[in-house]
Amino acid sequence: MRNSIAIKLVLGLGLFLALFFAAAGMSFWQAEAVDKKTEAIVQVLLPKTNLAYEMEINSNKTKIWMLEYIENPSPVLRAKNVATSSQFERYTREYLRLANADEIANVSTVLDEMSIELISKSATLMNQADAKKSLSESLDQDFRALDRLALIDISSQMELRKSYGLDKLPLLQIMQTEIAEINSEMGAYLRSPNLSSRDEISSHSKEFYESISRFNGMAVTAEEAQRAESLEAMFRTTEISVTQLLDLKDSLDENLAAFLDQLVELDGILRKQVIIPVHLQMADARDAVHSIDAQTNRVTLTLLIVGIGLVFGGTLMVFSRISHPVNKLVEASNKVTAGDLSARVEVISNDEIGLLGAAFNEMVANREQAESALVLSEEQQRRLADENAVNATIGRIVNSSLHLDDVYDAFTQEVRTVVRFDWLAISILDRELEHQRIDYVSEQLVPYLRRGTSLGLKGSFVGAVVEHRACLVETFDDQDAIEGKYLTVSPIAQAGFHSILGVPLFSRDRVIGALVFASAEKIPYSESETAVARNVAEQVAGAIANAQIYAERQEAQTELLRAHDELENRVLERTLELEKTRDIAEEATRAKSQFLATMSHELRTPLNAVIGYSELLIDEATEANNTASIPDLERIIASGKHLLTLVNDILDLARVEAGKMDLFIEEFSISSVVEEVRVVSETLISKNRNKLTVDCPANIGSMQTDQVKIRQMLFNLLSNAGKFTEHGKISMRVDREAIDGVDSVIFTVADTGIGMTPAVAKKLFQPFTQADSSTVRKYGGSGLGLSLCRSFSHMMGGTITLHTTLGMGSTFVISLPATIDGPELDLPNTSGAADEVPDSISSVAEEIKQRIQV
Amino acid sequence: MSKLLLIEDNEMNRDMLTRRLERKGYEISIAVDGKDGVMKAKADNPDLILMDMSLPNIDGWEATRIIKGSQETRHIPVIALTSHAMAGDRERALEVGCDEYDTKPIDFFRLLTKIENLLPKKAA
Repeated sequence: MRNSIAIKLVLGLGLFLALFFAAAGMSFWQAEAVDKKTEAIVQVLLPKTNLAYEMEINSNKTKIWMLEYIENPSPVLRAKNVATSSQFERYTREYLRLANADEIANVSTVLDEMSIELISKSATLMNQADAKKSLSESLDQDFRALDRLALIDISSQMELRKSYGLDKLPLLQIMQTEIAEINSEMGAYLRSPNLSSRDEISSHSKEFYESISRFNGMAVTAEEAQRAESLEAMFRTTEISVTQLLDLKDSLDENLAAFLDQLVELDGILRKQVIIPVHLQMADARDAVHSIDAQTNRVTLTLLIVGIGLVFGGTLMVFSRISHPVNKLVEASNKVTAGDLSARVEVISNDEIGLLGAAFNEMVANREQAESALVLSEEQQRRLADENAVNATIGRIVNSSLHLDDVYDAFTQEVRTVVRFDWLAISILDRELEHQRIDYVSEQLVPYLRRGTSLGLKGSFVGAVVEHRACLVETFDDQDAIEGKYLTVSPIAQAGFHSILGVPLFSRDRVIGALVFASAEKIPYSESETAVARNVAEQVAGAIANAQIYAERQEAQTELLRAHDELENRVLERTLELEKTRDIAEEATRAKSQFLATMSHELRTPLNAVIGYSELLIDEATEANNTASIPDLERIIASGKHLLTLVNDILDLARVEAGKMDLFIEEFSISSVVEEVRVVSETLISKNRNKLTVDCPANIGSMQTDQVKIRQMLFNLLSNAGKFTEHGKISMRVDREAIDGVDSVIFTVADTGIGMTPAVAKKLFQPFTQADSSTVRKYGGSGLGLSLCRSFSHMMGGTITLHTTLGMGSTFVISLPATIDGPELDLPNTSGAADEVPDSISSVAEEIKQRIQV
Repeated sequence: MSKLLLIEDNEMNRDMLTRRLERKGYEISIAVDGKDGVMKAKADNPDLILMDMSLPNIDGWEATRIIKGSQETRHIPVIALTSHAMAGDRERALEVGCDEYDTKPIDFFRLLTKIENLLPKKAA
């Protein structure tokens, strides 16, 4: 069976998978072991550890509470003590449940005994403590009774002093001291027992007895004797009680010591048998888990290294067994593609690659045979194909560029494959056919005949070609053979060429030049070579003709451009001059407007006072009944107000021209503005007995623009109409329609007044213009109102127009866009409509600007 | 009798307006600049203030802002008087807290109407 690549790959993959599963199994098994250990820790060791600590704590509690109880017995403490001692038993049982066999063997008996003993000892101790407490309490009372009996109180002492006589009193005092001494000695002994204090107690008792017998001996009355007796009897019982208490105390101390010893012993057992072993087991378990962990890490690392090794090995194998032979095969097939049919590959293995190599070798061998058979017939066809191809290529080259040098270079390159030559020259003739210029040489091989050289045509080789209008072939052994025939050939012959071919270049049946091929071989150019050369020459001739025409046109165009540039420069110069003039003029206009604005403001302040005080004077005159001065005052007021109107209009106009008039854009209802204007202008209009009609559709809607200026314009137009109309009709109409696609509102104010001639109408919008100066006298007004109307309507992006006939009234039409976007709309001089005449103030700038634009 | 505070720096305007308003039965107190005006607004507790906007020391805009910003004086109505009649003056005046706005030269009867509209309605 063949050693197939597939089998090799399968084997490699199998090995890799086996290793992988081995590693996975190992990890799984290790994880299992870790799990078990962990479980043991969680289930047994942790509770055991906790329990051991609980037991230790419990033993401490037992000790502390017992000591406390002995100091100061109380039911609460007793309950606590009982609880701790019995708790210990429960802990023991719990521990034995968790412990292993060895541990049970070691500690079960000890702990059991201990726990039982603890309970009983604890009970004994507590009982003794109780007894001690009650005994010491009763003793306390005894001592107090003795005290009372021995010396009742100071007053009875004084009585006694009188009745007993002075000598008995110190005795009683001594007895009392003894009682106190015994009491305090006893207290000291109870706090810290030692033999000397016990001895002292008995010595004091002895002294007491002596004192009492002396007292007895000194007793005079029966009462005294009885008192001494009862003292003695009482002291005797007390003495017994003291001894009992001291004995009880000693026994209690003994038991307590034994109890504490046992607790210490218990602590020792706990530490040695329980806590330390549990700790060790815990540490063991932890170590085991860690070691398993480390082992797993080692195994994983080893497997990783082996895996990497396998991958490297596999790659190496693939490279040496597959890539390398395949590369060889590709190399060989590239060679074959490049034409080297001798290429073969070495067959080393018997797998698929080996088979491929063998098949390749066989195929190349077959092809080699077939190719060699083809070569001969191809040789013949190729020449023909080459010629056609070259012709086509040359045609493409010739049409691809208008630069003759590019054409010549490419042409030389191509023609070399079909016409034999070592040097090639192209000569171009002048129109008179007197001179030729060498336009191109393939190499600078021939002296005198270089690129750009001009020669006479007559007597030259090219001259002969031109004359024949046909190809000319010459061959020469040495320069002598040709010397006399053509003037130009001798340098060619001197340069070492032995045959030449001249081909005429025709354009529209006219010879415009010639191609000259020269060869170092002494073989004359054949008929077929000449035919090929003639064909390519046709194309070159076409290119030369085209290039000549192109060059002529180019020259003409350059001339034209130069003239154009000059013209433009002159225009630019002129424009700059004009712009400068315009800037100066505009600056002057601005300065003038600024001056006017300031002046108007200054004028208004005193006017204010003139009008105000005149009005005040009228009020006062009316009150004082001094009516004579009132008409004069009214004239002052009227003149002042007229002057104020003039000043206001000038101020507005100056602002417009200084570019300082801003628009305040807001949305407002059109009909309410119209109504306001109507109300305000009604008195003005009725003054000349005119009738006002207002036609404003209810659904006219709203505008978004400067309503104050609209109000001012409408009021202006209405007041003009009222001024120039008597007994007539004045109408105000509002329409809304789209003008050039813009939603517009059109205000029309018409009157049936005096009207005006076209000449007057034309000048009407200029400032300070009324129809003629006599009208000023007759009608008043500033003459600035219409000029302002025009400026405002332009600011708001609209127009104002006038239709009038002398004697037939006038109609003013303001057309405004319903909405304007921003406050920056143009000054009047950039949006002037064609039917209007520029302001006189800005007319200089305007005119210059227009001239520049034209 | 309503008490008006007139804040005006021009002596003639002040005199004329004071006399005309007094004739109409108002009690007038006077301040000659913005600072004086703010102080008098607090001290005199007027029923209404007529405020010229171009004043020395503190201008009328600032003075109005102070008066309208103070707890004691913010209830007093203020009528702004400007001599500029510039677009936007009215909005600016209302923005700083003025209750009304009028332009100079003053149309006396128009001003009277505005004053009467703003004065607190007295019990009949």
